[in-house]
Amino acid sequence: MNKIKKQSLAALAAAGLAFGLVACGNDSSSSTNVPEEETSAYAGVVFDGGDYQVPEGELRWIDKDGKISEKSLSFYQDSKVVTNGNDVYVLEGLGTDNISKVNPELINDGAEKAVVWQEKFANANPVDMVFDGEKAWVALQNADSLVQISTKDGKVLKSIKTGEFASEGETSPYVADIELAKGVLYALFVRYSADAEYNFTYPRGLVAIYDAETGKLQDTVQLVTNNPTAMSLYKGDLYVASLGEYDGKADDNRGVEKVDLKAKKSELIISGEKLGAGIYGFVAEEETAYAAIYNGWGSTPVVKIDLEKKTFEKVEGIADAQKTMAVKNGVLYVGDHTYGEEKVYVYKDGKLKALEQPKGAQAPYSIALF
Amino acid sequence: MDPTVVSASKSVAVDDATPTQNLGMTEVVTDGETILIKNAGYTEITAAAWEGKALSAADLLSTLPGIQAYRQGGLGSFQTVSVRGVAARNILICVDGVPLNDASGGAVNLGSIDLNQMEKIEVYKNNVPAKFGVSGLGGAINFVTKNAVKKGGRVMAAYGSHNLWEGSFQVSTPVTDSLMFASSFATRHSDNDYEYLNRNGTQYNSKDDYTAKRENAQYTDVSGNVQFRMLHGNGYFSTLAVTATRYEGGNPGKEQNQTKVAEFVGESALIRYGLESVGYFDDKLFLYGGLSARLDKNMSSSYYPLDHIGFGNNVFMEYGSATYKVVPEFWAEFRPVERLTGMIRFAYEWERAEARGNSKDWALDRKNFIGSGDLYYQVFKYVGLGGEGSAQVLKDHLDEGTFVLPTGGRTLEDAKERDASFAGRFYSRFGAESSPLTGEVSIGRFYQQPALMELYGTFPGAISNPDLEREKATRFEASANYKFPGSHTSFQTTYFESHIENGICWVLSTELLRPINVARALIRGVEMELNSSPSKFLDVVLRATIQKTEDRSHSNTFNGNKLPGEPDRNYFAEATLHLPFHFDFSWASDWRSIMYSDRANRTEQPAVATHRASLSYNPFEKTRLMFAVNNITNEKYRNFYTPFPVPGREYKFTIIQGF
Repeated sequence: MNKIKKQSLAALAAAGLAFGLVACGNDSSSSTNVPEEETSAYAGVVFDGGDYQVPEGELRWIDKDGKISEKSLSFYQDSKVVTNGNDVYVLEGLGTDNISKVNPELINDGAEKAVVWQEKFANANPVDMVFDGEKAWVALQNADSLVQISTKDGKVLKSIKTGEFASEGETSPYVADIELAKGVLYALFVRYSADAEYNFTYPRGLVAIYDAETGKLQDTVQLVTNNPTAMSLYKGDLYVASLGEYDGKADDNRGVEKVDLKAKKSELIISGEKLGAGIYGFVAEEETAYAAIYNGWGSTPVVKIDLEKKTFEKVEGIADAQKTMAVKNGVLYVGDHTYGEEKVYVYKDGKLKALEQPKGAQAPYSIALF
Repeated sequence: MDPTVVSASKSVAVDDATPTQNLGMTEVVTDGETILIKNAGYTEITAAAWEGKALSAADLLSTLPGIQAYRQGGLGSFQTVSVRGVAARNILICVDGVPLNDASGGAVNLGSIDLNQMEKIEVYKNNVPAKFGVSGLGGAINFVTKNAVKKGGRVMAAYGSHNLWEGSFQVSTPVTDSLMFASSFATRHSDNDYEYLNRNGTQYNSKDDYTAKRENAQYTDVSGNVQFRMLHGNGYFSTLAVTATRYEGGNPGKEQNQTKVAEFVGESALIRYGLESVGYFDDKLFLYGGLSARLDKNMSSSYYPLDHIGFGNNVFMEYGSATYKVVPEFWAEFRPVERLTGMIRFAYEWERAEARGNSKDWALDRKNFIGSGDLYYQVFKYVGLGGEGSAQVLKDHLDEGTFVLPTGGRTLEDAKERDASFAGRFYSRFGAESSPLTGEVSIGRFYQQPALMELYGTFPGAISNPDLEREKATRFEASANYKFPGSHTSFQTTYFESHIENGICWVLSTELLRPINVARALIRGVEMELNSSPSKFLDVVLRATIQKTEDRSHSNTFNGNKLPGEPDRNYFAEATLHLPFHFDFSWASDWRSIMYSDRANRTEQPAVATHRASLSYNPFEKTRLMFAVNNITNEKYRNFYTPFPVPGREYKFTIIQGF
């Protein structure tokens, strides 16, 4: 019954956009332990203005007929949407710092009914959530901790201090992504530092491994590239994408690396030199990953990566995907941010199909599938 | 055609300091009855319209039809105005003819302009007049400081809500028979600690809402002016003026994230020298030469652990810029034959912007050659034709000859060559100076070059764009002015239409802002104004703006939307009663329809009416006491996504003593 209702709503979309330079990001899908049959139906998209004078983003969804909804729910720019398969969580970014739980079954009735709860995480910049039943771990990018919350009411249950990983002079190690699998919580830290002249230094990224139940630190792994953006688990290994510096250069300080969690070692399997630049957005399903390559402002085309074969090919037709990607059951939902050409695309079997963008809809920013 | 002169109250006791010696101001003398020289889009606001009324410069300007104000908070907060739908960044703002618009390309902050230093405000809605270079898309607003013309002086003191205090002192006196000296000093302060509803940034959670007091919003400014005006033996006038201003205030942050120590500091100095000739060839030619030099330094600072703005490090961040501007100019006003009048101006503007504080070192230069002129011919008694135009040649220079985008994505060996700009406007005027009905029709094509920082600047979180093109506008206006018999009432109406192309917007991608030429807009509207003094006891002003602004950019998100900050309708009414026993009472009401703060038209600001009142008393000829209440109905509504709380009802008491 629950699934039937969701199908009538079809896919979910959320909205938001960041103002200001944040040195790292993450993928827009989060791991979940919800059975796959509950997550197989549809997708969600985030929209934002693309113009800094638009502080308000919008949460839209993709209807059963494949069209983006005419209705929308209002959230701040720079919002990210994640899902545990049943509910949708909107993470409002730095400066707003809220998490909202949205009930998809009521989404057509407006935010007053659909928003189950909304909690503030002051100045913490929530950027990702991973779920474990009625609990969820939250990545707080501008705080020196990870917190576990109750999905019933959003209240904090416990926290993990991460300040020891922060670079000297920084208030946070800047977590970029978290993943949860088999009772283990993985946290990906950028650890950048900025001096008074706004010179940014990106040391090698770091993966910290915690016991998800107790929050106890189990181990850390030093990465071989700089400025990691997202990660994904596949066959017991962790695949990490990294951007390197914000300069669009092609070198070995960025790309995709494979972390052998047993040996606690990492190796670069696809370099930024081969990709042409670093990776800004990254999502993966099994051995197939999609990466948005950061060439510079307004240019983040997408490549499809085979993690097993260590090969990649370009997905033609996407100019500026940024982090607006989600993949499920071999289907990629991807947004194009290009000014005046803002669209959401479905990429399946090598074919790209554009969804009709409602009049007035903002540029897509984040996508979640449920 | 008479310019509109805004002077809400006739009580000008303090300004009527007896001119024991008047060194005069050079003006082109006309025969009055035969030639109509005034620009129909020109409005002049005199000091009586703002003194004692607790109005900021933006508040005051927005009482005019066609002008909308944006205000971020209380005294000293960022404030701008748009004119006839043209955005604030495209409006030329001057003090004594010297532009305040700087290398950043952003809108000039009117919040730091102290009206207590001003004699009048000149507002040109149609265009930037030839004497300012005919450069820019929108109109021009020129703040004119008090001149060393009349002997006298005054002292002003005021106190108001939120610990507002103001003080000013002006004196003007002859030093010798041929030398006049004037000096002024003014200061303002407010704690700006007004209460507001803090929604904590959670629009779907009202349980965490609470009433908060604005913190770290204090503002103080100090300004001074010294001026000498000398009559030379050959009849020429020299004017030397030095003005200095310093302002500082807290940067209070957004509603849900009030800061603790973040602040901004601005310092500026302006030196002007001007030489005005006598009239040559039976007053058919007047010459003027001038040199202006201006220095501006603007700094901001914050500390992330306390303020939570900027990047998340433990370093006290201080960043900003200094800009220098030197403008030598020469212009001539001429009237070679009875029906022909005109002026021509040549100016060279040198501008340099440099990093200050913790910003990475950079320096940018711009050399700007401008030639502009205005020519008007009275074809016959009731019809005249005119035209004004400008030619502008720019040359930018990059420090050390190389420019690297902050993202490393691009390197330039030198600044790009920029095309010369030619702007112009043709107009026709109808009626004579004495006609009850006068009118003007004009059409013009205007350009605005991107600012230095938009092209080559470095900002945290933003990247500049060396490929930016000129912004363009085509503007049409038709005005009519009717003076009712008896000269107690006049009515003016104007139709305006502007087509904006290549407008510069800051667009986000990969969390970085960048300016690009994407804005297109169509603005059409009608302004109306009725001024009436039906009796010596009553003055009435009624103003209305009805307009349609339309975003025509190539974007599914914005196309067809209203322009931000532009309502469809705006009405203003003011009545001043001149009561017995030297009392004057004034009431003003303003209403505007809904508007949106953003291009996506999602941030709706509902229709609102605001009211203010003032009572003044002149117990003696040169003494004036005033009590003013602003925002009587305490309107404080803000859209949830409008992050800056505004003060509600405010009171102010002012005393002015002339001598």
